[in-house]
Amino acid sequence: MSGVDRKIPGIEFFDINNELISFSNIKNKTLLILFFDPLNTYHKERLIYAQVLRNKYDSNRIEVIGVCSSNKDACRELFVTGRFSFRFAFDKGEGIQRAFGINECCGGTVLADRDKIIKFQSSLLLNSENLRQLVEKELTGRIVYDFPALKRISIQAIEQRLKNMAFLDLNSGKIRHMSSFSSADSDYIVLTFFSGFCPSCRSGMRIATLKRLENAYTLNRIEAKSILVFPRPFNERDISEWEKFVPMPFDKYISFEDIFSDEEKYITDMAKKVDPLTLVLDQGADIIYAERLGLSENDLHDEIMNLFPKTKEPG
Amino acid sequence: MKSDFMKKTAILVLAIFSSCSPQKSAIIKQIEVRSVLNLDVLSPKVDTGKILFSRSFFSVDQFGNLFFIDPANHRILKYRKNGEYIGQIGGIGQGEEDLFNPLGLYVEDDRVFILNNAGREMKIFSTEGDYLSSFKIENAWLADCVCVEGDFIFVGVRYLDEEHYNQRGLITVFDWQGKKIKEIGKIVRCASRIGYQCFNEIFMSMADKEIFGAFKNRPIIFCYGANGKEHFWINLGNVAIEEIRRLIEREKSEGFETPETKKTDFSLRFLNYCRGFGADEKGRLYYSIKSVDNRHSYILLQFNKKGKLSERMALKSRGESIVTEFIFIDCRGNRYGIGKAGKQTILFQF
Repeated sequence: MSGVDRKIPGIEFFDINNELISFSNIKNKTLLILFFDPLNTYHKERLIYAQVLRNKYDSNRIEVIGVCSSNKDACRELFVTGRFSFRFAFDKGEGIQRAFGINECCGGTVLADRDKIIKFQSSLLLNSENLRQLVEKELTGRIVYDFPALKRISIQAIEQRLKNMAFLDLNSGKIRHMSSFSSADSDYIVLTFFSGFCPSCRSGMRIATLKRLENAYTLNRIEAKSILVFPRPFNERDISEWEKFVPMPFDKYISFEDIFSDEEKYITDMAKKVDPLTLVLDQGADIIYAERLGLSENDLHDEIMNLFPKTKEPG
Repeated sequence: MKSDFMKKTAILVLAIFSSCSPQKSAIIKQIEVRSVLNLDVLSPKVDTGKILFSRSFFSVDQFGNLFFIDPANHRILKYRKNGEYIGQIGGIGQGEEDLFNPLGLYVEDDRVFILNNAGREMKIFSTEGDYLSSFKIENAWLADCVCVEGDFIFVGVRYLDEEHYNQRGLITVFDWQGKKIKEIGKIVRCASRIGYQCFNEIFMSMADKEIFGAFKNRPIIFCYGANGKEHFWINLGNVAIEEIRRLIEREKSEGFETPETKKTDFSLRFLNYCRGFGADEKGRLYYSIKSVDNRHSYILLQFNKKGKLSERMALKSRGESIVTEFIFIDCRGNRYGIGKAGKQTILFQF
């Protein structure tokens, strides 16, 4: 919060199209600066929502600038594929971050008013709903709660889409559908969606939980398999990169394409609530369990073990 | 010789009898609670899934109005006891009247004390929602537990202390202007800084000018005077309590981490011992813990003012077992709990 009530720093820098961005040239507009990691699924989703906000309030009232400090190619690719109409800057040397006093790897949010006074600063990239509240409060003077959620769909619809969804089997390099995974490999599939390149989150704990579950299946003779699911771009080589941070003890990893399409919108909806998210599917790829918000790792372990009938817990 | 034999026989019979006879504290008393509100139907909705992470997310004022943290929207929601919505305090932002990341609250008289920005700041509002004052909690990593007694504010703070974390106090005492008075209470000493952060999460409750508390992830209860004097600090692992013993065994057999574990990242796997805690005006402590019989249900252990186990209680609502996640006892001694009864999350009194 150190920057709040101060004037934004008078710095200049270039966007990814090599055009100069100067804060002093931005006049009479609310300024929203979003620090992001271009490979982070949640960050991408929040940038897309920032675009929605910008469209809603038009560029005469709000200027949005995305700033990324790692992986310039991914940043450029995201800018192109996401069809953003606001500017992205690549913060080589992290000079922009330093100017705002943001030194976290995991993003940041800065909001300055029309007089360029910082009203909000955080080393978190706020989630979509909080971005909406913050921007609307600045622009309209009030916050509307109980805003209609983004698209929400039923568990049946999730099932249907999951069955039809194409996954890349990272082990074989082949494209498969979830129904083929479940019927061919196991009675149950414990599917955990990860936020990709964010090993510092809860991933280590979650992987430990999944491993405990696998040990428990073996002891209880349950035919179940844990599969980690990563958003693209995630490939087989990335698994060894992950292993530098956390053990990756499973024999199957899958990855899926473009999570922002309407068809797969449910994942972003769910991901907003919990990171990571675990689903348990039966042999017909029907979802028999979806992780609830706020569950501890131990509770998740217990709840999943409790799903399987006529089994005895180890210990 | 004969009288010696009779004496030995009598002692033996007495020993057998006493070993078969259940102790009072071993019997689980079934208690039907009074459901006050179904929290799932409140409007605006209280996100019970999220607030149950916190240990200081609910409070009651002198009129029985209910205050809940709404973490997703960075505000405090105020309801009448019948569930009717009255209004809010805060909303996302970093201005005086705003809140960002509120983690704990406590209502005392006509003041609402809020641990804001992950507990790095204390904000004080009137119960009507008017901003009154605030102060920073310097060097706090996380503070999520607060109680107020008279002129003093007691906050469970874990500090950003790279080297001397094992020398920190458990509870930091402030005056209402934010002047730090002192750190009191004994922490669980840990082999790593991450362990310090995880194993020193506490529940806290004030009763008759004493601070009672329980560690969330260690089997420990404590009591301090408001002046910081230790009245007791009991490792329940050293007391014959079956529920605690089972958890300790599980901790060992399944390789959960303990304060002795040397870890540098946050991938600690540890067990929760206490799931809810409160002290009433007579200093009776209520401690929610997983039941021995069923890992998916919870019982309430009641300790007396000296920390001795006096009763076991199973709480039920219309015959359905309650998973008690939170206990709060208000200034008039009303005992509240929040927990899951079946699929519903209810606020109840017991």
